Amino acid sequence: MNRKPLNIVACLAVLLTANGAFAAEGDELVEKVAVRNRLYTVAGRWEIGGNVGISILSRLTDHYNLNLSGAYNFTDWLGIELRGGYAISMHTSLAKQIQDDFYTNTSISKANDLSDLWEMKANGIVGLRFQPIYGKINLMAELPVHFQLYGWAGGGAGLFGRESLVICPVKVNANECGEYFTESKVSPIVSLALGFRFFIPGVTSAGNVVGQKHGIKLEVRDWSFLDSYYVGVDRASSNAGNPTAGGALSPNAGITNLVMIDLGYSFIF
Amino acid sequence: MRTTMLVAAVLWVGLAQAAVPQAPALALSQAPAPTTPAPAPAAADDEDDDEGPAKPPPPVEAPKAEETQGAVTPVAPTRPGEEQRLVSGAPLYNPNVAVHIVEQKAYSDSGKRELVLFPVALQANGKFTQHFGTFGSFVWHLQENFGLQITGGYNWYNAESGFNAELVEKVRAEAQAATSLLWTWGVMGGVEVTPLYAKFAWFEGTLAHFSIVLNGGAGLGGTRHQLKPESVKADGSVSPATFGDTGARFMGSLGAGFRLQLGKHFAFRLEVRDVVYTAKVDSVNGCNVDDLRAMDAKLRMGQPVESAVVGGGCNVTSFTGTVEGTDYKRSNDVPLALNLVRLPSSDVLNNVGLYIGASFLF
Repeated sequence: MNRKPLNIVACLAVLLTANGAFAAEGDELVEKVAVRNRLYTVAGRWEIGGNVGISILSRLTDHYNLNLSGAYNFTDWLGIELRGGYAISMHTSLAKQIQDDFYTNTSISKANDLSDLWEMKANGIVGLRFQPIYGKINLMAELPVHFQLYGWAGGGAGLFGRESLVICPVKVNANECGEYFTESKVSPIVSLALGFRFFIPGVTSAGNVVGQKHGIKLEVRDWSFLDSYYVGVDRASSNAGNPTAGGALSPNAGITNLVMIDLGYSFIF
Repeated sequence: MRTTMLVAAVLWVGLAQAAVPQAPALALSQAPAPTTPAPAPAAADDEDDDEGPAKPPPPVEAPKAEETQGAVTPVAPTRPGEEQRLVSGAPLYNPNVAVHIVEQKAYSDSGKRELVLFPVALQANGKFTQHFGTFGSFVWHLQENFGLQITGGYNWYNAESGFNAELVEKVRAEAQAATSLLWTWGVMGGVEVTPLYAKFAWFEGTLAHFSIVLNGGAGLGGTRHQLKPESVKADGSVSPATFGDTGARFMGSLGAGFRLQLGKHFAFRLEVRDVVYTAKVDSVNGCNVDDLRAMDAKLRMGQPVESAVVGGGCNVTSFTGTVEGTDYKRSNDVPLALNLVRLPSSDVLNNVGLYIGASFLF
């Protein structure tokens, strides 16, 4: 067999292989430069911000939580955040309807209150933010938006208030309750969240892109706290001096999970 | 000589091919080197070079301290003297060059078909009802960002929620029949668009590509309503809940989610879909209020429900016999069903579900 064609084929194969390897390396480097190297690095930087949270599965209570936050990023992927604020809370229309209907229903002599009625008021939590995912998304082809995906875990304490739906110690008449039984307490909170932070570039008057200081956060956050309520309350005997007459705290009250969707802003120093 | 010339030609072709810039298209922004050593130019971003060739480069100033925060750290050359080496036509190692990657999809969707399995679809807004199901989709990507989709599946768990049971138990109240209608099966056809494409890095390592998908469709679904809740009898045994068929309903669906590409043929999907349907409870197991009244009257007279005169669509046998494995008489469901349809109720229900699954593209 003539060796010349074999040599040519061998040369061609080596060249094509080398070319392919070169292209693969090039693609990898492009990816490395374009994504892995973060345009918005947060390592070693402080940040402050604000959040508005809205409860997304309202059964008996509605919450609008207003928080201020401060954070420090140890690295690009780990930070610590302190949040505090106040939640505007209220009964849902369903809860009000239950209150009215139950009060006029005299066929039930023992009142067992409903679960998950505690309303969060003042709250403060601290937690770790784990943000290992950094990426960018192409909005309308030529507008890349950089983002982080993070998980958040922490805890703290909050002030809670509760108004019963079924215990009425101050009765006006057969159709109207003057005042329902209310309680308040300070309770520990455990909070978990999963969210995105989208970075917004700042632009000078000259049109130059400067700084990496602004971020918009969108997250789903769960606030967990201990529930408690009275059962077996003698409705007829309940009065202002002894609102929970004959009743006792439920031994199986469990934990309330208040799930909110949070929209926030952070300024990164 | 011919061989030499041939080899030279092959070499030339190979080198020329290697020198041709390949996708992704790269746009370069060449800035003069800073006068003082700096970590990296703060403006070395993806946006600043859009105006590249159209405008002369702005005067270069030493980067301010605050601007250098967060700057891109250039890829370090692995060998000395590589700063000017071109990679895909760009000097990626040069710290004074900003590289803008326009858009590159690792894998094209155009013309492909995609089989999706959602082993778990769970209702996320379960106030009075709770659903868990398994669904599947077939997507035919007619174009890169547009496809036709058909989805079907079954909610293998569909029951009234614990919250509704608590209302019944504690305050003798419950949701209206239409509001607590349960969704059993569904088949929907529609479209899917992928307007946004993104990629991310896990720490500083693995890269991944994903799309944001939006879909919408319409179709049919089966519904039923709980008649008797599950209860525990005096002897400790459990009497299961009973249900009545309330017929098929027109359904619409809107959804959004992520599709994370895992290689050429596989993807992970996480979607939120809102299935909207009108709910009106005016018959149970095909029996309307007149049929149920007739059966209820027979029961009160101590006669079997089969003796009642009912319409042709009424499935009387669904109210006869006992529930399998128990001694619960199905005829006990007649007054419960009559109670549901006596005061007809209607509602528009939103079943917002979280769909988690994987897909195969071919």
